[in-house]
Amino acid sequence: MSNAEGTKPGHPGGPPPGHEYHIQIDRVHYKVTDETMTGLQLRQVPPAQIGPDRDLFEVVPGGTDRKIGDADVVEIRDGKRFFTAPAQINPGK
Amino acid sequence: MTIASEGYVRFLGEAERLGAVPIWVHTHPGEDSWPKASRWDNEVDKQIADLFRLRSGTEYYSMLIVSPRPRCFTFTGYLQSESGNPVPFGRAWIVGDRIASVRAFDFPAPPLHAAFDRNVRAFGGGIQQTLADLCVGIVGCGGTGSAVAEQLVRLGVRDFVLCDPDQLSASNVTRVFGSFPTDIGRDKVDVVAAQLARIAPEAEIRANKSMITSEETARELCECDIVFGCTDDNAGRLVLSRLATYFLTPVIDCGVLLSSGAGGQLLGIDGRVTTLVPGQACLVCRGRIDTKRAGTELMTPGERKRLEEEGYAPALGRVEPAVVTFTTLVAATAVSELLERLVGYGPEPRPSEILLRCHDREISTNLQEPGPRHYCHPDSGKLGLGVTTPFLEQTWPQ
Ligand SMILES: [Zn+2]
Ligand SMILES: [Zn+2]
Repeated sequence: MSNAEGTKPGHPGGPPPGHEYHIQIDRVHYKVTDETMTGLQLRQVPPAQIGPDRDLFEVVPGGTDRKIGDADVVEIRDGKRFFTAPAQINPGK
Repeated sequence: MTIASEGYVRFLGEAERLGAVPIWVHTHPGEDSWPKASRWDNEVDKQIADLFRLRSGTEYYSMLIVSPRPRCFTFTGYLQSESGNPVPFGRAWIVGDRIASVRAFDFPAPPLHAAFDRNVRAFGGGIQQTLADLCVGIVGCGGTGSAVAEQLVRLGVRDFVLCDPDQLSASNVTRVFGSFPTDIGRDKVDVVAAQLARIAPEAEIRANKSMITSEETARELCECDIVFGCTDDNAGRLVLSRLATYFLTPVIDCGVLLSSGAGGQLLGIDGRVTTLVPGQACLVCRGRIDTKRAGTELMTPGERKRLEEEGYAPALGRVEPAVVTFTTLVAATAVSELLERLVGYGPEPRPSEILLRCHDREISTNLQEPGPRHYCHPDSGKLGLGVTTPFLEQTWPQ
């Protein structure tokens, strides 16, 4: 998440600085202002930030969901949905 | 062993696309294993239940534990909504070329009644137990349907859904099992239900006085394990044929056709028993439904009369010849088909249709592949699709 004061200027044709994007992470709605965010930044969006024991995914409607690594850069758009999943399940025992 | 998120997350999106509930399945290996959730299994359920619901877009989480047993398997499992208590699975119904029923580990079978001794000597206690567990739908309670019902209840089936909108006429008493002249004018489903209750007072019988072409009735039938099609109407057969694909409910459809010459002499006695299971052609692909007649059957009486007069619709309501020996023969063949699919005493590959040419004293069988691009074809993605909007993806008369 970043503050509204444009740390990055919007590229030509993009929305004016200060535009808010509505996204969801694990069903909860958040507003963000950056046009692109890294996985690490997205993990810091929820008040209790997402721990390393969970993987972050972007919902790809009609396709295979994309796993987002900490350094991966995601283009933010209104209505994008993300969710987290246990990184490892140990079904044994 | 550990499973990384990429290993299972993609199936959740797939479940959403299919409108399906994903099930978390694992095994407890060994024929002496205990197929019940360990404390650790419960921990895993807690970790993943929310994610399963969230990403698959259903309100349910479901899990299944399977263990091998000699020549079979056992299991426990449950379905849980976000707010409710888990609903345990009681029984698995396995449908294919063969059909089988397996009780869950926590739902042991009650002891079999000694009355079934002769059946058990023929096909064993497991099959007898399956018959006792089955919910069977019978569409049409005339000569064939009543004979199917009579045999099933004597075999040990104890749960029935009967559908027929008609009343018993004087000429029905010649064929309908359990009917007496005093029953004329009563609903056929009530006459047959009373007969089943005389034979098995503990049986659960739901009598439905409507056509299967009503959406409500079709929905009730999709809860049956297997459905016998004993109706003459083509529109009803169109529904039954789809039921087999969308709900993987085996349908055993039967019919009799007596052909008489102008002088009333019997020329042909044809019986047909078609078993609809996944991988086999539906009744439409087999040409067993007259779709033009089906269309006419669904018209309002006024509309039908006008089109019949103009020659645009086949005339309906003709009284067909029918004889108890032939309706009973076809009914017995249909019920035997259920037994064969459960016991497996017949040849392989298993034929999916039996044609009785009684006048020639001949029987022939066939297998037919689903038509390409048709709903019955596995590639169509319709197999086991379940509840759709509209129901069975067909239009329903209002
Ligand atoms: Zn386990
Ligand atoms: Zn077909």
